[in-house]
Amino acid sequence: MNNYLLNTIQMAHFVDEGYIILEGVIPEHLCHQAIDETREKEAQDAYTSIREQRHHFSWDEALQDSVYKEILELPQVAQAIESLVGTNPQFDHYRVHRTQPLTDNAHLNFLHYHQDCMVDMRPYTFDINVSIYPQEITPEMGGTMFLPGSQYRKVHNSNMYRYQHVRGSKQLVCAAGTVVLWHGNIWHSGRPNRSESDRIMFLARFNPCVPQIRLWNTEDMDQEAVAQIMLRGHAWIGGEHPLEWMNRIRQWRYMSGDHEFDFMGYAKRVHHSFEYDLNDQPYRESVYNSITR
Amino acid sequence: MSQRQRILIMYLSTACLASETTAWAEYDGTGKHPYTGAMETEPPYWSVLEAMKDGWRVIQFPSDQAATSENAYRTGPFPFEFILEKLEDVA
Repeated sequence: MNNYLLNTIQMAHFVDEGYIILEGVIPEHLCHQAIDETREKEAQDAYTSIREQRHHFSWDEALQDSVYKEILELPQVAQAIESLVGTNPQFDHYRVHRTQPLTDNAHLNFLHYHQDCMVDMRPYTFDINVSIYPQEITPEMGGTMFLPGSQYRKVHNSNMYRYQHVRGSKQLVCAAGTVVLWHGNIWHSGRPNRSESDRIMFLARFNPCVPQIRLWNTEDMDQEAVAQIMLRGHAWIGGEHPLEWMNRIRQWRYMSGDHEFDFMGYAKRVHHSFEYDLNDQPYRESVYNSITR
Repeated sequence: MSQRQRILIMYLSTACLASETTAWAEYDGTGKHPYTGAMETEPPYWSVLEAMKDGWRVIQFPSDQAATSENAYRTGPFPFEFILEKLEDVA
């Protein structure tokens, strides 16, 4: 059996940027099925019944008649999910987005950057969202826009509604059959669809039920390479890079189990060792909550 | 002839008005520059000081916050937010 678990470099990019893109991993025939299913069920309003089951915590039961179940079970997708949230995660939400071409500008002011996990004070544990794009997404179609690296910023959604343009924002443009796995707290927004076709995306959210520690393929563990990825920074952070770096160091210490991980001596200077973090209330609570959920 | 307000919100790298712009938004009461949702990658001005030289008036500064052991690593909304205005004649 192939090993499709994410590797350390991919995980470092996830911890830094907040998302992983698996470009074109869904076979063509499943993409066609997904597009047809979405349009048919939308036309029949059949997804309404699925939406009503959103508190069904068994995703294979909630999606039993859907091609999206088959897509989520593809080894490349399932093992990427496992790398981030472990086996048997809780499935608490899903939704099919079918965005029609924009006919007027009336709803533009509702396309705000937002964070899905508005009530989420867990400092290290995180949910992931999985977005499935069965169609090619062109720039005109207005695919999801992410603010890379924003997942450590705890905000209430309404705080951000006046933001419009942020340096370093990335709007998704991708091949058909692409899957994006993204941190539940990353800032994101749909964009106006200015093409002539509808835009389809399936979204599912997974909550970890195990500690998110070394769940990926760690054979290539290289802390120096990880540090170099996290040190690159992002244009929107400005003068707050030291704070952002500290948050990444703490996240990686938690996830890698290497409680001496550091770069530029940032954490070492103030946290001499893991013992300090063990006395850190949010860290302790996060470990405890991960284990006892 | 009456006047309407244009609001430009700028987020800078630091609390210094000459530091680099990282994010921005415009709300235009004249209706001449509506938000289109188009993604802009370059700010209209690279600092608040540059905008002031073009006639924008600063009407709100960010407030300072002390770092404590509780909030030292906590990050949230963009902290260095400046609100600027310009009054323009409308027919």
